[in-house]
Amino acid sequence: MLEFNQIKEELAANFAELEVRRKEILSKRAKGWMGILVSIVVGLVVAAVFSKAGVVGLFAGAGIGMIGALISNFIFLAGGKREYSLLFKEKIINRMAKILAPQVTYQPQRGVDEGWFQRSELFSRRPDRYSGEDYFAGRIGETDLFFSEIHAESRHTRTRDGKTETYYKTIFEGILFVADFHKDFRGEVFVRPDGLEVFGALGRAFQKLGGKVERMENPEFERLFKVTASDPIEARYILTPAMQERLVELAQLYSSEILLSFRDSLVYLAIPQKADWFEADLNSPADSSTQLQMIYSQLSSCFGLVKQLDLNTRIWTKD
Amino acid sequence: MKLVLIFGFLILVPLIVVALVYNGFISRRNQMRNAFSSIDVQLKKRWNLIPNLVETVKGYAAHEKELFESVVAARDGARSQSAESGARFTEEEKLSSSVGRLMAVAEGYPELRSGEHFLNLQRNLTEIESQISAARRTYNAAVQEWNNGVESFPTSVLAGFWKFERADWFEARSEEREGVDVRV
Repeated sequence: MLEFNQIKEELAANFAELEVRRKEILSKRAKGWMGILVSIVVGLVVAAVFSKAGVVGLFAGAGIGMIGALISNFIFLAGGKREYSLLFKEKIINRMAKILAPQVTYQPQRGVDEGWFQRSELFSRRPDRYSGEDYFAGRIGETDLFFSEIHAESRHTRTRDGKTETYYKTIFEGILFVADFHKDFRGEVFVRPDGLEVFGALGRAFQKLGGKVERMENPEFERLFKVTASDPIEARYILTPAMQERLVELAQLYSSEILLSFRDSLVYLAIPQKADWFEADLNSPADSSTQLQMIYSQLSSCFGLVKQLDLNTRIWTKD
Repeated sequence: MKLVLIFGFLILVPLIVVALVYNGFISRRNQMRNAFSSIDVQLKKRWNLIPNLVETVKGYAAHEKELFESVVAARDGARSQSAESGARFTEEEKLSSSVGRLMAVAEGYPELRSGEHFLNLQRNLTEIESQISAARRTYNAAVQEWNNGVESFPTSVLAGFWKFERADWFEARSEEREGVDVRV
């Protein structure tokens, strides 16, 4: 894998064009804000001049201010950020991904389909609102994979002061990574965060209420995760001592409560993430090393999951 | 009426507790048996793979006659033991070591290593070894649960009454503990 500095050099040809567009958008946005300011001032002046006309004068001033602000927003502000973000994704992230993983394609406006989210069976609730972006799909070494950012929410209602309102709760927000697993298996294995292990024997007794829990040998793995499986032998076939170590490292790397399921010969990995990954900051220069370094490390850590989970080792009977 | 209820309670509750403990032991014993039968299936698969493996390596390293004989002898030794005996575990471990030596010899012959037939056998062996390892770990987890029941108070009292005894672990080979590197 190429180092960051080499990749930055490879991308150098794209920076100039992006920077020109970024500055144009920034200048357009400055005009937009100025337009809004002018509209408000004009509105206030109109309201003051026609104050003798009473409410009519006030409405006239407010109306002129609002219309002016809306026009400025529509002409100068709307879409600029998104346009730059898409351009950056096309020119920089797409290219960087091609360098890091040549057999992987990038679709910024698409996410992992909802069907895969449900097939993972990691979350008991079916989402009522689902969206995704930054979809990567292809092959790294021997492993077929795809992943993207997703946001799944459930709809709820509540009544306040006699009014019923609808609101949404996040089921999952972060990266959903799906890859071909290197071993053949028929059943299902689920690895979920374990919140009860800290309570010792009592916590373990509570765990069992939710179905048969498989206890693994690695104490750190046991502290972090709870394993349920359709077949205890298959659970251990998949979660070898080495794989347990890798998952502990992965949980520490992301400092988050990662979830995994192994079904249909695939591994599903959900990494909760509040931050919006693979995004450009309009206020940072296109060639900003800090920004590029951040995107490089986001891409490397996602592509690196293949190595982290040792998915390219194909020494078993599955090709 | 009250007296009947109290007597009923005093008899019924201990009976339910005893039944639950007994059923717990039976469930653990069945888990051990199930895990052992999975080990057995995989060990038999390995027996069946060995003649083919020996013949394939023989084609390139005919002079390693002693090694081939020791592999076949270890296989026959394991087959001659009864299913769940400690001697069977010992013989299987001997067989594992012999197969390990056979694969090490094969490593010295690049032509053999790159052959499709050998690669296929090696993949199958790795698969079987992984399955044996998984089944053994499951068996040991079941043994741990069983032994906890036999040795912890108050279930140990009932275990003693039913003559339930500690079960033996199926220990990993030393090579396995260090992690065998079987690469294709």
